[in-house]
Amino acid sequence: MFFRKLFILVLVLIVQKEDRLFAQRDTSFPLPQVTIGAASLRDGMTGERVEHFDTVLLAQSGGLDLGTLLVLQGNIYIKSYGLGSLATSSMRGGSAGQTAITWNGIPLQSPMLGLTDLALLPVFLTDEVSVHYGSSGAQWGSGAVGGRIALQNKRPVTPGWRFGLQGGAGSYGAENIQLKGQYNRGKWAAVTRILYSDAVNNFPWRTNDTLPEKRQTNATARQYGVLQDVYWQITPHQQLEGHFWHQNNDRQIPPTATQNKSLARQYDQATRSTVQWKYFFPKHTLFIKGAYLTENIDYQDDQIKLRALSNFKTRFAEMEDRWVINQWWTVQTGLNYAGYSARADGYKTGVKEQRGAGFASLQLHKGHWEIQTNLRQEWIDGHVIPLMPSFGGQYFITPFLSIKAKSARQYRLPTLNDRYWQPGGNPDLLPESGWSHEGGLVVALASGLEYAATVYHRRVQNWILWSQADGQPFWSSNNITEVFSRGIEQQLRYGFSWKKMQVDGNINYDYTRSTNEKALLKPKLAPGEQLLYVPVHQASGGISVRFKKISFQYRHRYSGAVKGINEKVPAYDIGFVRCQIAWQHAPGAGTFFIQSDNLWNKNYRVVERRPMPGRNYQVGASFQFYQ
Amino acid sequence: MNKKTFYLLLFIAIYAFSAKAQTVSGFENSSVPPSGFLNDAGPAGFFFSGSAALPNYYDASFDYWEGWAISNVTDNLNPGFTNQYSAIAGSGALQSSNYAVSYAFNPTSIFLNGPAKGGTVSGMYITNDTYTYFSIKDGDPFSKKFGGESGNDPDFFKLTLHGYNNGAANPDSIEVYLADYRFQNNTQDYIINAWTYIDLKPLGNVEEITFSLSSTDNGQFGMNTPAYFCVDHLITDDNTTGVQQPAEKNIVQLSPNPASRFTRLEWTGADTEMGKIYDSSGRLQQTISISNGINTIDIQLLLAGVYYLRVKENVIRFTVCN
Repeated sequence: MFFRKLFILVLVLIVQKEDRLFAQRDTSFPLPQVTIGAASLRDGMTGERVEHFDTVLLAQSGGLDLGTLLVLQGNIYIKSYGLGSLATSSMRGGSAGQTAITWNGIPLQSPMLGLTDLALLPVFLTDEVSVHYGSSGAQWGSGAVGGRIALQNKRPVTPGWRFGLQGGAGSYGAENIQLKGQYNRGKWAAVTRILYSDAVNNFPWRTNDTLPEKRQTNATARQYGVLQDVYWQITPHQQLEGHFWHQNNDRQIPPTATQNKSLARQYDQATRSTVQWKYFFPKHTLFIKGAYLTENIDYQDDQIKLRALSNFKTRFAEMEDRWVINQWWTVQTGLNYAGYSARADGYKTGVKEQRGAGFASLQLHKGHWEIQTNLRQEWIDGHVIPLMPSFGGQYFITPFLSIKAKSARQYRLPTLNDRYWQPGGNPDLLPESGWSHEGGLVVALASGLEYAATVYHRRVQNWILWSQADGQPFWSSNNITEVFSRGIEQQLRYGFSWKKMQVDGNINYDYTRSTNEKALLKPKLAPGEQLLYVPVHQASGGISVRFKKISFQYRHRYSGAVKGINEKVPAYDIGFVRCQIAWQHAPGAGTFFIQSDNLWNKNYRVVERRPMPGRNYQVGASFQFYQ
Repeated sequence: MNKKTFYLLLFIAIYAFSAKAQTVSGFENSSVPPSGFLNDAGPAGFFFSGSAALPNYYDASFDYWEGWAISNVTDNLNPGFTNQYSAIAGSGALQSSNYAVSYAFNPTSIFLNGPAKGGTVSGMYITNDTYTYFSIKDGDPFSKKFGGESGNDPDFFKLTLHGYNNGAANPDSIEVYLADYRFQNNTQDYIINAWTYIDLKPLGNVEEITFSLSSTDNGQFGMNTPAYFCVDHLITDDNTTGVQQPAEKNIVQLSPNPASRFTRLEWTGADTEMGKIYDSSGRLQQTISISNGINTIDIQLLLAGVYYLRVKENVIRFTVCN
């Protein structure tokens, strides 16, 4: 009996530790007034790999956008066109449109392009970022093929008033300032965040050592935004929360390395609002949420006398019930609706799309086992999408070793551009779909050494590509090929304390083969050919040392060579260093930091013909005043 | 009449009856709006000028065109696809107004009609499109400036012409470098920016000339260099002397078009004729017998794509879809 209790105790400790390190389970912050857990089963699928960026790390990254945060601190591949420019993700060899981005559970992807520009998502405006690897289409619907990046706003924990001011400045005219005020007392809590950032991004670059240095032009990026959170504990069993986010971005589009000049610029304006209501019954938790999102894009190029306006609106409604049957079984069911409307020069008229879905999850957590299965049935404009199931399980062999597995059917609906852009849009496109399977193990030793490995295998049929058939006058979207992705992901971490020093280190390595399986002429693709902008090898490693109020971090990342549309992009490895000093003296606290990216001043590119900056610096400080 | 005048008139008379007459296709017959263009040839699917028929594909539902357009745009300063109907020379050849612009991401053709059909072609003037010229010179977001980042890339943009007669390709072809950056000395690199006369006699006797573009700037989606060029003053040599014979127009209608298995041709000519179907590259695909009235044409053996049906002097473009 003693050993059984000891086993369970160690198991709980490991699971909690994994939450921090590998985040296998949900870690949502419970409200102080509520004792019932309110996490949705959809937030963390059993057997899936999750990477968390917690509040502390996000607080240190206030001036960054999400794309840069994931480059500096994460392990997924970010296709960045340069400082302040478009940044998209590729997870497990998928396309940018195969990563779902959610904000408080609301999908943020543009229905027109199917992707989200990570450079337009400031880290400061969110409290938690998590990266979920692998398909979660059964929980989150279209697009979550390679993975999902979740942004979450959380009710503040500390009571009373709190004001924060942080700002930074850096190379190439970069400056940013963020203001945050929060209130949390009794039934009410509110957080207001305001940000402004500006960067000229006129960095010098070279093609190679034999050619003269050039300087980036037309690359200024300016951004300002506000996000308001309000939380109301109506009764001990009811919560209402609302979030409003408005943001303006004005970016010049720099020339490529093979272009003499550019006068292009793009204005992006986004307004997003959501209201969520939760009711806690003894065994049920009811979630109801609604959202309304609008985005306007104004692309202008005076050089070619072009102005292209586009916009889209998303209406979203969802209802979920989480039923804790007993200590082992939990069931969650739900319905959701998403209505999209969009206008663009490429559409003959405004276009609309209606999606509806019913979904259910069942979780068993008993003894050494944790098992979860999900099911989703979706409709798009009245057409039935094939049923999407997923199954996941994790088995704890010993207190220090667990194995896990997951199988999921996934799909990605064609975008509005795929369906309606003229010429070439194809309203009759089928969704991309297929199955993914993954398995892995997690070793977490009491000494602080931890290792996790995941092997995955995914096939996606009806992959949508814009292609041109022989004799066809123009390019059009077609369900034309199949993509086979497989790989292994490994993470090794070690942390220890010595006197007043805390040392943490980690090494990550991803091997990704993602290949086209059919021969195509236009675009030119051979069977077995690696997809564009998917590195086969990717690795990162870092060490952080904290001594009293001083902390130091060094990270090194390596990205293997990738094939671009026109030419190969060579492999590169980049160093990042950050030093920070913190102080605290009631009623205030603060930090000062200095950091440098591309520390070893490497000449590299992520996207062909798009130069990246050499060694660059940022300094910044933050101040907090609290009651 | 003195002796000198007599010999002069005799020489002119002998020359007139022995030399081939020429027809110039200058496109001045097209009613192009001022500083504008025509990118829709209407149901005929061709622009006609002199002895030349220039195929045009236009889809009104999204204002898409390819093949040929007729233009008199003179703006040769502004880059980008918004200035795609402009010749970099700033006018038609020999200071004329109108000229032809080709968008030839896929190869395109010029068909010869009337007495010029099957004859030699003396030549034509050619120049770069303004969009293409500035893209090669300065680069754009999708294509490189020639020479690349170092300025030394041996880039070129080339137009290749083939002659076809009786459905078969003639042995000789002509290559025109619209831009050439292959010189060791970069000061010799050039982009054609004026109307340049090209001798087309090496193509031999032709009833069709095909045009295909190639470039050193290629990506996974094909050629990055904007696939445009401009043509003017196409000089065809007639097989007979005297006045040009007007083309006999007998095809009334081809429908359905596009078609998948069968299409019907209404033919008003009195005699039974042979109709020839060519693909978009000018290769003879099928020969059919056409008689007066409605003719059902079996096209089940044709792959999806664009084709040309020629019956005597009549050419009509149609699309086969699966």
